[in-house]
Amino acid sequence: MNDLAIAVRHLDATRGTFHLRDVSFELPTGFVMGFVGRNGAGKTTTIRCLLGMLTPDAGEIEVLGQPLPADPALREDIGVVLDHSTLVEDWRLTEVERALAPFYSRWDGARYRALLEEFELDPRHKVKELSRGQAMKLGITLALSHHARLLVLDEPTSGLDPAARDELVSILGDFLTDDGHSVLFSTHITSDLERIADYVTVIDAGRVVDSAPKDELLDAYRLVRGGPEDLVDPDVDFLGLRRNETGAEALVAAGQVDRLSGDLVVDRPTLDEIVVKMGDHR
Amino acid sequence: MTSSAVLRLARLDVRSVAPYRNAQVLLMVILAPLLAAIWGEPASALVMAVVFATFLAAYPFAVADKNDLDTLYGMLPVARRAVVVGRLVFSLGLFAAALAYGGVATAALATLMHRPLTAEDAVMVVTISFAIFALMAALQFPFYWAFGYTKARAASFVPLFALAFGVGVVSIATGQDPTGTFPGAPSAALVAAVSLIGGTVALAVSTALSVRLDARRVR
Repeated sequence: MNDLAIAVRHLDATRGTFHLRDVSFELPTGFVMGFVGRNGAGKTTTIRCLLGMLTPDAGEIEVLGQPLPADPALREDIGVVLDHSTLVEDWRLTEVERALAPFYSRWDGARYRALLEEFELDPRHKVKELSRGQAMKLGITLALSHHARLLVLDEPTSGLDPAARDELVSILGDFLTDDGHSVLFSTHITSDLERIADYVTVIDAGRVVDSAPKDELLDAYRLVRGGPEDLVDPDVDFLGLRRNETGAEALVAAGQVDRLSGDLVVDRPTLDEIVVKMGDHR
Repeated sequence: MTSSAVLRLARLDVRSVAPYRNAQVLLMVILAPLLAAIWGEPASALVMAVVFATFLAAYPFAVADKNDLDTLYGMLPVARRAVVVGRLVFSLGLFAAALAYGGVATAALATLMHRPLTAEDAVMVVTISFAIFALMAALQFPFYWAFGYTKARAASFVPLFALAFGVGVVSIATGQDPTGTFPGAPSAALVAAVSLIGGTVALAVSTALSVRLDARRVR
């Protein structure tokens, strides 16, 4: 088995007026990577490149050990869940299966029906009658019914209530009980990743800001707060520094905390704070 | 690109349009023989069925646009070219269905109205119908693949109007009714051959162009 589910190296791509620049990250097989960034940071453009829907200007991409462009059969191993439906809205869920099953050699009709039942999706319902959460579950059902080894989720929790988001995390947990399964989870809601992500790649303005195991990333930075006159040390890089009349706040590399002067509060940042501060810094 | 992938995509097109247009299909099924009977022209049933199929052939583009099926095609394990060729196969299947239904309706009407069609008439109607269908599809599909249905809908009617305009000009210049028989018109065999070969070549060239245009659009 190949060690890497996804390898992206020095990827440049253009979509309209938006540019990805020198995007690189690796997702080892059997793990979950959170792909985080603000809206418009480049997450969907990167995912389109990974799925072969967008041709890169430069760089290399490998998915499940195969360099892109690859044989379309590779997509049998990839399940994709997007933040919007890509199915005919007037199809009933039974028709969804009839329409898509012929494309997959490993389609498992029994599993499709079992998952619909498990997720309490009525096969007689039309796609357009599904709630946002139900549509996300249908996407997962389709991906699992053709036995995908890699799940690519693009903003799957966008618009979901906390209970549905929690359920998704639980579903992904079940998917990952097989060591050969991997997940790339793109989101701007970083709290979703706190529990499930093993690796995190932060992207902003088309460039990767950081890519590391989640705990390493969280340990690598500190959130520091001080008075309005603090956080001026010249040999410290203050990321996303915000200063107002009542105080100043910034993210700093953990290794630079010793160089700070003044009466400061130093905390371990959340993923959300890292994403926001890194975005501000750029 | 495999032939099985093309056929699966043609079937996907059938399933995509299946929830829609049922009322229009039913209307065509009733109206085509009814109007042909009223006009006293059995062959009009076939022509109407084919003209209806010509318009219905664009419907998968409309459904795909509305439901973002382009993204779905990108996620399926099929080559992008197969999507374009599959759409052609779907439209040819639609033509065959219209031809079968229109043919049966025309034959039934001809018997009932005691206006039997000669073999020559039948060949002419079928081959000219194919040429019209093929020409319309060949002219419209590249627009849809290049720009998407919503953006290209208006532009895609330009060839239809150009065709109608051309027929009108020829009609005025020759002083002949374009639906009638031209004196000294070429033989039925020649018209049939030109219609079949011309239609097939137009579809082949159009599909090759569509593959390129589609690849550029989804790039």
